[in-house]
Amino acid sequence: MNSSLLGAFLFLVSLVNKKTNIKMINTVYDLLKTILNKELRGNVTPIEYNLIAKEAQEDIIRGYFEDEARDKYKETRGLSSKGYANLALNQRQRIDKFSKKATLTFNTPNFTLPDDLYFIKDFGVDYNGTVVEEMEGQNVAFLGKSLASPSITFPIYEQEGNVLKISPPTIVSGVTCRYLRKPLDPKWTYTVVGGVELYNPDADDFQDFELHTSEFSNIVMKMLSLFGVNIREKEIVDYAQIAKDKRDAKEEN
Amino acid sequence: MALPNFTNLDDYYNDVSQFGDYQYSTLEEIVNNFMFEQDDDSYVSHSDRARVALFGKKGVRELYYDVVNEIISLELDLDPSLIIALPHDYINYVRISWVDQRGKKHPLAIDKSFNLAQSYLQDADFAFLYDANGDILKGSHVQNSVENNPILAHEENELFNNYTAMDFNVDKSKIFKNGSFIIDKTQGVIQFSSIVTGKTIVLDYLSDGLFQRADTDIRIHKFAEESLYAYIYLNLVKRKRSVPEREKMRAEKDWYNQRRLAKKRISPITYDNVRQTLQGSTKWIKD
Repeated sequence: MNSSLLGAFLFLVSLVNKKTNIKMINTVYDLLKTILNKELRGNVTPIEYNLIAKEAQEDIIRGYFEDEARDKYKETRGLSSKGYANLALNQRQRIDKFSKKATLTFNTPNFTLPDDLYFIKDFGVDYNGTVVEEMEGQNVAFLGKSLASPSITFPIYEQEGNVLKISPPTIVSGVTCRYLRKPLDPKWTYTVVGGVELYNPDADDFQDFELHTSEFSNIVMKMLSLFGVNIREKEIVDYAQIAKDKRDAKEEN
Repeated sequence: MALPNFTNLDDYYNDVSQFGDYQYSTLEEIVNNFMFEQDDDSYVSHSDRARVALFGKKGVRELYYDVVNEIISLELDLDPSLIIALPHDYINYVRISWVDQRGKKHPLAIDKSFNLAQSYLQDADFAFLYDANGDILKGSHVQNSVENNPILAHEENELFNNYTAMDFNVDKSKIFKNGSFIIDKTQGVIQFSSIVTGKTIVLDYLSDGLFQRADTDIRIHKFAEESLYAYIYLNLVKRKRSVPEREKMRAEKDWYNQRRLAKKRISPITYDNVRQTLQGSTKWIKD
């Protein structure tokens, strides 16, 4: 398929999605099946699709952090603008879609983190309105015996697996955590009728992509790339890579 | 800046503990302000709060030594041993005096001729004596000050009382009308001369503003607040490889300048001070 034609097609599909509020996961699936099956390159089963969709979504979300770092760097060099052109702000909004706040439970001697924790936000742990600062393990011992040893006014925490060890140990309640939750795994659900999988968005475990509709073409490219690798189709991988490079170059400038 | 702990003035005037609080900013406020002031473009934007608090405390110490001029006064009755333990938060003395019945302070002089040497116990053959653990036994040092001998002390008083400007051969630096003291830093005591036996002593001394204070209670006068920010910033950039040398020099100049400004604001030279000082300039010997 001609790459410029595919690009235009993806753009049109994303516009239709926005207009009709169709679940993105199904549109992406239909599109992928169309592209991949066009030249009898292979079929995509729902199980494969769900696996690759999860990977693509995670990949895109991980990219947000790098993008925000780049956009913030531009901002500090005076290369950003206000309003919708404030790229750092836009990135932050994409990330903040996953923001959550939870009160941590104390299980002696530590606080247990939420199960859906992805990343704790910078200065995200709070004790009754006072920031509990993250401290790397190697510094905790030095700090404990220094002039700035942890206190109720300047508490610190160290993360050990899924628990937070907070100093001073007199803190046993009132700790909240602002964090990014794990994105929910996208799941294209279906019912089998006559040996054919039919799309069923009403299933209890249905889950659409947790990404903004503007990410439609991004998801398709990413999934094409991953499927291309899966079916060892160099042309598809190359196409996805070229499209990605073009977009990155545009954003860099 | 945190709001004071009162919503109306009645709350303030009915709570002695809050008197004068508005003059000060707490370390907590200063650290939070500093953290917030640093945006992504700052050289110290990634500094830990713990590090900022550490330099904040060191800065408070530095400013308490010679800028904020917060002298602590402690009144004590001198027991017959003529020794007073240094206060728990003592760093250095400003003035030590005895107080008369009218409440007037009479400053004591420092007498460096006091013997403060450590003494090892010796037997009749001058050999050192040891305890069961093999540690050397220590005794009290020889009090060879003239003032600890009542007869010599009397002679010294006589010498002072009979001193006239015509006695050219008298070393005036060794005549102590009000008595004298010496500070033994190793033992942590102040030793007084016998002239002040039975008197009430006032210690004017400096502390570092940190002792036994919870982090919320550490505070600094608002006149010195900017200099504390400058001190924290300087110490954060000082050892950073990524910070250009010119920025470090600018930070250093800023700290010295802010410290100078704070000193000037806290201890201003006013016309009234000068006039009062000059009024006593014709008196030859001062109390």
